[in-house]
Amino acid sequence: MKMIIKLAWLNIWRNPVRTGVVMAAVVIGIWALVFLLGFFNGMVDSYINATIESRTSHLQIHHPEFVEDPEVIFYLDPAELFREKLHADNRVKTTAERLVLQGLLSSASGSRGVMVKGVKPEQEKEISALDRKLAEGEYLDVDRRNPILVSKGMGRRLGVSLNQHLVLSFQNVDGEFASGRFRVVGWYDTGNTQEDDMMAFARYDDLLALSLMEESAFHEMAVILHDIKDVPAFQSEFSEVFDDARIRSYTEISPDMVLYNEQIKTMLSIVIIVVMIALLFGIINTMLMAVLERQRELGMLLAIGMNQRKIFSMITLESIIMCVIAAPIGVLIGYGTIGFLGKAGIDLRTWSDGLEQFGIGTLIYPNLGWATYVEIVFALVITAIVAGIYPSIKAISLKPVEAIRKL
Amino acid sequence: MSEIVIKTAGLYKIYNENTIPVYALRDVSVEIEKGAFVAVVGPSGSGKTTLLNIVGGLDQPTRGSVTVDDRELAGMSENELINFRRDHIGFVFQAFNLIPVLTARENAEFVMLLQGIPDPERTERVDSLLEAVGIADKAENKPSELSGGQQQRVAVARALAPKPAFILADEPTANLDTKSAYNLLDMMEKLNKEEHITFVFSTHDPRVMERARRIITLEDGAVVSDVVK
Repeated sequence: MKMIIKLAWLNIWRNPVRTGVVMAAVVIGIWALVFLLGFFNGMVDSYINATIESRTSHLQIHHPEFVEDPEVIFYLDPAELFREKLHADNRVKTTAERLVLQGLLSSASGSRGVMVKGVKPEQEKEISALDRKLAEGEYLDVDRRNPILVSKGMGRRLGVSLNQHLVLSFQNVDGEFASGRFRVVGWYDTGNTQEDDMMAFARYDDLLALSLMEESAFHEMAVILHDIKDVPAFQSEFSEVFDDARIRSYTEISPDMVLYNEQIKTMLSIVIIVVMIALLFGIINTMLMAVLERQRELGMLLAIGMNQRKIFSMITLESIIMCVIAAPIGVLIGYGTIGFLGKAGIDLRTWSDGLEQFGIGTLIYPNLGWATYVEIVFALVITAIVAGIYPSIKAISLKPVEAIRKL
Repeated sequence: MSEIVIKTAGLYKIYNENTIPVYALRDVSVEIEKGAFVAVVGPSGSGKTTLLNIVGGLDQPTRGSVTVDDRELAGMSENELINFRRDHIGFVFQAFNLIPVLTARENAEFVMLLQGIPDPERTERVDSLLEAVGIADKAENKPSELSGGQQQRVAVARALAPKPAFILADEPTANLDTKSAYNLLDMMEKLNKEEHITFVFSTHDPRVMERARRIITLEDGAVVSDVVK
């Protein structure tokens, strides 16, 4: 075996340029794969993080019926009790309670249905960074009566500009019509324009007064944990603690997140297969050329007693050795690229409009788990073996008496 | 009576038997004894190389039998034949056919590695063979760094390494200049006389014919004369 390995090793360096080209193809292929996988992982993470921050948090607590029918009457209270119990657990990082009202925003030029969230400005800074999502204007902690944040798109449709007034009307807890005059203090922009155009943010206290709810009532309590991995365990534990409320995780609130993740994974598997097929044919082509060039020599080897199994092993090993040298180089370069860009981020501002439609941020931080590196190397070794098989079969099916005469 | 190492009986090699048959060999029956120094001669296309290929287990006859070292070659599987060739037959080809990436020493010991002969026996034998073929000082050179004559010497050393029953040399001097050809023949003759190694050449080189002690002449695939000098 030692001799076969040595011979295979020496054989691949007979034509250093050709071997170099194949190895460069493997290196570039692996690097491209690592980069692509890392990039798409980064995109998924960006989407998930953006969704968690602006929409779902890690967990949300609602009145059980509110989930199916978001009516103003399905609220929970008192907020202090919930907050106290949640913060007693050291996995909890921060919480925020909100009122959620379905209403109508009207201006002189029209009206639009909207979901208005009544938030506590200080809490919201912590949990959803709402104060940092202002395209223009001021945050809700501004010293003015009834401030409201709407998206620029909503403002355009209603024909209002900053500091102009809108009328919010909705049903209060007594089932009566309630309305209030709100001043647009800022345009908010979470990056997801579709979502933004259906939402508005006002102060908790302002909406509480208009809706005539209990002092510390809330429709929604958002919870952020220190570690996202604790979500499932935390959810099942607290479902028992809050047996009269419904606690849902971010994947339940936004199932499209799971779907998106799955779709990306499927797409990446296809990318891996396509790259491997391309490499497969590249290696087969090279190995086949190497075998055809060496017909006379292979015929001589068969003649002097090198058996078919050894010749098969030698040719297959040549293909494997090339990949075994090139793969770690590709992985290392890929690892370096991911490591660098994982810190620096990839700025996609040029395409930000398109990406924001999908709720993806414009700065992507590629990342890749070690398991994926192992998968790539494993796929490549399989590819190298498969690529070696056909040329090896070609080699052992040579008839020595014919092969020796080949020029 | 001397020991017979090669025996062919009623050998035929016919191409296109079912359409327009071409007879490469017709009813060739020869016996070659141990220690012989035989030249198979004849014009191009007379069947010399075909006979050597069949005797060497590289080709199958259409009819007839070949016995080498008391073993019938017909009926052996491809891998059995490969192993048989490895252990019983040494080949020297016209175009040298060394492994270009290995040194002279590595080429010479290659078949012994295939046989699994361990060190130090292998190294000792390679040293003595390289010495015997007069190439010991070039042991670490690659074939591309050797002259044609030197390469053919390495090929002879490789052929001798597994201690075969005989050596088949297909036009071994065809690509050599006169001096190299005589040197090679001197060396082979010496090995034949001193070590009783059997050599069977195919050739139309008069330099080889004048050294051979037996000349089998083929014409149109048939033996037309078999002369022992």
